[in-house]
Amino acid sequence: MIRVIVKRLLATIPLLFLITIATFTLAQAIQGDPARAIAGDNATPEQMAQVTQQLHLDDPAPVRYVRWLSDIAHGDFGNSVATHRSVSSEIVRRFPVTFSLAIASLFLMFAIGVPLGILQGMRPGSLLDKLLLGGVSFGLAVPNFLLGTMFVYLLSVRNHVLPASSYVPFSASPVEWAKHMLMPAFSIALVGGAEMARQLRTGLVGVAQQDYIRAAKARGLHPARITIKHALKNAAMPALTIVGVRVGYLLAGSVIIEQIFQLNGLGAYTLQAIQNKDFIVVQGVVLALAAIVVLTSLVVDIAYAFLNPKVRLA
Amino acid sequence: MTTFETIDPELAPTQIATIAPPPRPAWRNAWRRFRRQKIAMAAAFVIVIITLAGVFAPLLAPHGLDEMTSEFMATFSRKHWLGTDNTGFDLYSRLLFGIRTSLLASLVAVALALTGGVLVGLVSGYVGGWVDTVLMRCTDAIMALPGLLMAMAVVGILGHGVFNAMIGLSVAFMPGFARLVRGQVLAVKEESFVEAAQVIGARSPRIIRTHILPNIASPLIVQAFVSIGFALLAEGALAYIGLSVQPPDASLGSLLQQGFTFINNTPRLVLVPGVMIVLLSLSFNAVADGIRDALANKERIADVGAQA
Repeated sequence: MIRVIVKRLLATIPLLFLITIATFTLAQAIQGDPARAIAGDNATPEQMAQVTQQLHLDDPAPVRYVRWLSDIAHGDFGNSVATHRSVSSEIVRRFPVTFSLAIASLFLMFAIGVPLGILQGMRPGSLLDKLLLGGVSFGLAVPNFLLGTMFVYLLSVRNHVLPASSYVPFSASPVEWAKHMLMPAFSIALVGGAEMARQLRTGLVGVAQQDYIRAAKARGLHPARITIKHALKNAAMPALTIVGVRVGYLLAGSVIIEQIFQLNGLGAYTLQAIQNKDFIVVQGVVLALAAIVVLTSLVVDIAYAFLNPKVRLA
Repeated sequence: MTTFETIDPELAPTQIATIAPPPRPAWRNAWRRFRRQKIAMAAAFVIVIITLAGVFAPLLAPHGLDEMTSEFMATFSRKHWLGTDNTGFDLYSRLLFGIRTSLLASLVAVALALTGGVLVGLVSGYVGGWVDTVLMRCTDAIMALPGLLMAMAVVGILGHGVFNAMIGLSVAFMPGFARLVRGQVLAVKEESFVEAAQVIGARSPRIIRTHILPNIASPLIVQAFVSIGFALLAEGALAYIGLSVQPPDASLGSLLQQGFTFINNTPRLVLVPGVMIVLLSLSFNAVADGIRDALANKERIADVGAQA
């Protein structure tokens, strides 16, 4: 077990390293003329030269890359080109919003996917299964921004059921937090939940053919007990993978959803930075998001090893 | 059905020896099984109709893409089937042009991703060794960057526009294809017919072309259909944040985005393009499922969802 974890951790290091290169290259390509962007349109050549010197923009790219990397290692993500604010403190300030959104979405994803998947998997081919299959296909096809806007229209504008915008910290009021998170999180979670239901159904149908399930049936165990205790554990693996795959999607989805619900999270920050060609922010925030994705898939892999002894031995 | 052109020349002697009935070509069997699935067939029909509507949009549309009519915010009528918008554009005409742009863009994104992914995956799986390791670590790195963010960043670099957005999206889809191809190549590479070809001295390009590619094609087709569905949704998302087509051009996503301003009084402007996106994406997924099932008894297709 420990060997698996150590091995997996070691494999993450070169990956993170590659990601820093990719992020740096991406941000370099976005920047255009950073000296002009920072000094402003009416800057004199002297001012431009000063900015260039301050940020070492004259240095060759590899030198700047190494400097950026060592700054990050010291927790310094630089200052925004547009607002001159520290990127790291901005990330820390906005992180709770996006994190709340991601956690609420993950929770809803399970809340949607697991019951639906079990209902379908217990009686494949039944009318309920067919109806739910249709619902699941529909869930996979509805874009999150359409869902989000329809929610705002139906539940906030038309019938003031839920608040349409802004963020309330969990520590301030858990109930208000949940109320504010429900619509944006559901908009993001539907696709993942549908996908999870589908995986779980396929998994359960496959497991149902196994001998140990037949043995459990022969012993006269209650069908619900068989499904939950024996089948689910083995059918859960592919469904769990969805979580790893979907974290990137959750974060990317937050870019759009944060726009609709006017949440000031990392997604909104990234979009703003890309539009302003604020390359220092772009490289910082994209790296942070990618690191979150990598760490989540690390956790999922380790959870895999816990669930499946075969993985542990490999 | 005449038989001899369908028999793989390398298998022919054994087939003649056993006097077995000549096998149908695999795709014909698959097509027969696909045809039996009502939902997939209906979805394929929907796709064909909508695609034709998009292809012939300039001929079918009663009004031009940026042709203002004298009516503003008109509702459904004989003259304007789907009504008009705030600038007096005919919504039905714009919907047709939007379908054209969105479908073309999605196809471009998936075609680029498919080409790149197949190249990387083939090299990675066939060559193996450190080449494989390096390529796979790189795809891991790209996969760690959320796809939509990647597309947004590429638009930031190349400038606004639907095709720049699609290039960005194709970069995001590529690792998924590359992984799929690599896995399939690794499996097929061990088959005895590949070994046999190697033994008789066939060169790698020939082995890849005649033995490996045909055997990995079906999961790729499924994945391509799934990805087109995703690309349609992603185009919509990019259009929503203003990174796709610029007015007066129209895509399904940009029509939606323009409609959102008026959602309170005229939900029609949102619902028409919205329903079209959902319908298309639903149909592409259904066709992908249909193809998957039609091929199911031959191959187990990995359920690799493209990360959009």
